[in-house]
Amino acid sequence: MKKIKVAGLRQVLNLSQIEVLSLPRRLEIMDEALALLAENGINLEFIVAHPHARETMDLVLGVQRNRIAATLGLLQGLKGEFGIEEIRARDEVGMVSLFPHGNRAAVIGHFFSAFQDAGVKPLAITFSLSAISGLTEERFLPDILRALSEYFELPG
Amino acid sequence: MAKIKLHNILQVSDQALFSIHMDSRRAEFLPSILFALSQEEMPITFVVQSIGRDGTSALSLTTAQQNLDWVRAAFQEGLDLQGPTFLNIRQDVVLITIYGPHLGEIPGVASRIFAALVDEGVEVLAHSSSINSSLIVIPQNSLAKAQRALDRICEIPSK
Repeated sequence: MKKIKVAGLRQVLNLSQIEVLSLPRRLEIMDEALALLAENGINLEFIVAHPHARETMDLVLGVQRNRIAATLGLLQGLKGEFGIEEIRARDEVGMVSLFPHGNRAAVIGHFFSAFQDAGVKPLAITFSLSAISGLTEERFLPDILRALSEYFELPG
Repeated sequence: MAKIKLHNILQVSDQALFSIHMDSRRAEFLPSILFALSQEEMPITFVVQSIGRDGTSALSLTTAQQNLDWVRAAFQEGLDLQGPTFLNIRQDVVLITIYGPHLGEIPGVASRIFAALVDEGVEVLAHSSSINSSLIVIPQNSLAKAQRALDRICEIPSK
């Protein structure tokens, strides 16, 4: 199989993932949650928000590991007020980002394949203008990087 | 408050948003479906995934609306999905990409974007922020309102 040339690969360690699940689909709730974190100086490494069912959304956030207690404390305060069903947190999470040149569908397909080959279910996938990123438990990162190298050719 | 300094805001109109829910067994077929889409040169303009309360994977992606029938068939047949519980498609959406190299290092950018969109009454259907950009999927008929909201809080040097 011919490897796809990519512009770069980056990994970020020491993250924690917080999932706000079955959030009522009202934008002002998301606005309030994000504003609360911003007011308290908590920078989010990634945000994913998308439909879970017709009436709810799931919100997945990434923060530096040393900010997880503060982030959770702030979000738990909103739980009752807004009818959020569940807030989950996971520690020791890492993010691997792939910076492709083009042909996004092929890159995305191979990115998912690499996770599968490594026997790892991604905790979340995020997308930016320049990269596709996958969240996983840190201990799986070496396996995923190895699997990605079977599909993608890095410069140099 | 100072405006958020950006490099650009990009829009891709006439998109369809696919929301797919699948168990682990079905998720195994995802790479081959995505590969088939690439072979047919059907671009994916946005993709996010997470794991829901019940442990199932939730995937949202956008593609050009003109490819809707082909992409729907690929997912329905490839993943054996039946009914709106597992596959929901929202037509006439637009993908907005807000791009600035240092966006990821500034707390509160996404919060300000959401607040501005709420003020204009724009519904956000899906969202992803990481590294250097925020991507937002909204109904196409809200585009003018979203542009107004973003113009209010963002500054693009070339504008």
